[in-house]
Amino acid sequence: MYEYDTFDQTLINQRVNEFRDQVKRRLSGELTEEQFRPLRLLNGLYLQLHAYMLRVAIPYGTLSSEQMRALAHVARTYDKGYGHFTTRQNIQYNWIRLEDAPDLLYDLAAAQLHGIQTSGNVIRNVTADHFAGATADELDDPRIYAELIRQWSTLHPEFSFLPRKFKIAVTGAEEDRAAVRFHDIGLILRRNGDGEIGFEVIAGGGMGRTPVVGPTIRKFLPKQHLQSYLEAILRVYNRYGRRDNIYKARIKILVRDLGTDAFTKEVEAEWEAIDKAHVDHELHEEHRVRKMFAPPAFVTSTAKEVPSQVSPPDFENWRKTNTHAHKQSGYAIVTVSLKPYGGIPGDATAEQMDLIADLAERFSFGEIRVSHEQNLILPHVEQRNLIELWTVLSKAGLGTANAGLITDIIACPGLDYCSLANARSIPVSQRISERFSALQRQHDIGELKVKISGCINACGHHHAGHIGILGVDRKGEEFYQITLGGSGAEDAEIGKIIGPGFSYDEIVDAVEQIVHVYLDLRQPGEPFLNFYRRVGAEPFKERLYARA
Amino acid sequence: MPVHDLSSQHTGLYSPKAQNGAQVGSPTETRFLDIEDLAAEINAALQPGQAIGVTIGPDTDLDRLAPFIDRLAVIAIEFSAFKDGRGFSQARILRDRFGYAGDIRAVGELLLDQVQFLIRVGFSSVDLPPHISEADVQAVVERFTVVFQAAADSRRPVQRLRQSTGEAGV
Repeated sequence: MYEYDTFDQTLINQRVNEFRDQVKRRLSGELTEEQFRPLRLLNGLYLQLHAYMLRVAIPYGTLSSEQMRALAHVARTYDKGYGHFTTRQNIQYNWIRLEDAPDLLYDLAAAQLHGIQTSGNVIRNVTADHFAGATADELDDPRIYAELIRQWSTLHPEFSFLPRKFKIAVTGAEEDRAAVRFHDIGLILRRNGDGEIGFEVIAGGGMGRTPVVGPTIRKFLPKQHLQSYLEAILRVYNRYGRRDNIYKARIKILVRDLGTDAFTKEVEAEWEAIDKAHVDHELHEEHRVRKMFAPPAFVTSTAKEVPSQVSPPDFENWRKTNTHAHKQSGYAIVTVSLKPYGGIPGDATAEQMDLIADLAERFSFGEIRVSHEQNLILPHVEQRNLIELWTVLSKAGLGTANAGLITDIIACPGLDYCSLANARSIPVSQRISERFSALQRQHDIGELKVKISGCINACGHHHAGHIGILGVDRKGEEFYQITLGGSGAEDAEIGKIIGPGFSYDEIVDAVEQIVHVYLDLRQPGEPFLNFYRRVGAEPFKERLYARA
Repeated sequence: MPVHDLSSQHTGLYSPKAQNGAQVGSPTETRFLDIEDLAAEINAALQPGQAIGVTIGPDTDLDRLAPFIDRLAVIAIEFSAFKDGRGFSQARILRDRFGYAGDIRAVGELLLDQVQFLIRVGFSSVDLPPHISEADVQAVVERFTVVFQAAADSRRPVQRLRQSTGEAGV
């Protein structure tokens, strides 16, 4: 895993000092809230409905056990004993007092964590495949490049006042778990005809009120030119992106308005003119970072050591959904579900965080990942230890066997916390989760991604949900629109609205009706998304609106 | 508003075409023109050796400056709002691409906290509200001692320092 050296540490320490000074000036009245706002936002501090919310960056979703304990410490000391893992592989604390924020960041800095660039119109915390470095279907470890991007983008002097926020995601795998086509820039590691490694570059994807599946603007970018090419894209965006309308300020609108070809031409011309030797990363730095992401000391040939005793059926169910093939034989990637039935998606208590930190040390080389699906990952677990791990997790309410199933719901904080929301997301998610809690039924339904957003900003990624739910305000009442057929994976697609919305009371029944249509009409072994793509919206419409 | 000289805040400007340090134009001797009138005025009005400055907007096409750029002592880039970051790219292009070595001045709506970024993209002076002192500017400039990317200034990004100190992750 990447570890800070004195340079990295110096920067975040200086950042904490800067913020401490700014908070002091705010509390003394020297700064007005209006003047303070842009400064606090640059450190991830939002003012929400009830309190300040602080968002902590977890670069490319990778955490050490020690860092997880620091997050638990913050939850316990400065919040109400829990934190909320987000769809951007970050964690948010919802009950922070302004006067505590500098101490909180000081404590985090000791664990190489911070809130820099988790809000504001800047290059946000970079995300990556949460199975990076562990999955079998990977060309190269995307975290190496994500770390180079983290450094390059940190306090970037030219791109700290962009038209709007800017999100970059990287994957090295065939299966896209990072939703790269829904980012401002998506990078897929590729090998060219000469065997060199580089990136397919996607630009102008996004969710929000104008969802766009991002187009590829370059099929192959040699990896050594990553930074100069990113600068070219960002410079074109910084200069020509719209600033007159907040809803049209993301790069996707610029790409759409110019057209992909014209946009690409601008970027290529800009890239031509850049002094690449000046801007690109140094090879020795890439080597230095790569060394830190070297595979841990796997124990070889443990495959035969799986305990011979008959394992409990509950464990088998969990193993089926919550483990994933590892590149090293004898190992598995484990998804720790943060979606207990009726719980709040992505929430974890300080005790749970500490426990996962301990378990990561015992079973996963001290490594933890946060997935954009709001679960935690133990990336390197020996298969012979799975039962023991599952037993401990289950006792702590972390053993729910639902990864990828209908109750593994993504939901934004919604009207319960967020000042932008039109409707509640969390209780809708809780009710769906309770309705479908029977595990046999969930397994029968199979992979089904439900994603819920409490407003058009789409933080719950509803556009990419197989079933997407969007909360809207209709004359002061919460209403929920359903979209079907979205996908955030390599077959990225935007879900289509099925018809008129449903009330808060009706929405769970509507979801159940949709599931019934699928169960009634699917072919053997046909997943929900394939079924929808085959039959289209009609059978669903008939069932949902027939009685009306 | 008082103009702060930023050129002493760093050891020189990075420029692939011109390695000269920046010279800050003296505001009392510099005549500012509208860019629309620049082409006509520049040759008619300018005496040999006389300094001239121009104010440009965040969206001014920089190619229009190319014919006169060697005669410009100051290019002032206007910020209509501190959130409008286009001026940062304008300065960067003037330094990196045009090799402009004269004074680039930031004017308009700016925050003190932005000064560190202004310097890095190539600004050599800034016009700030009167209540901001030279000491305030100095404090902001000295706040961060490390940088993580090459820009238009001469500061070396961390990865190049790592190389030269042979430091491989202390």
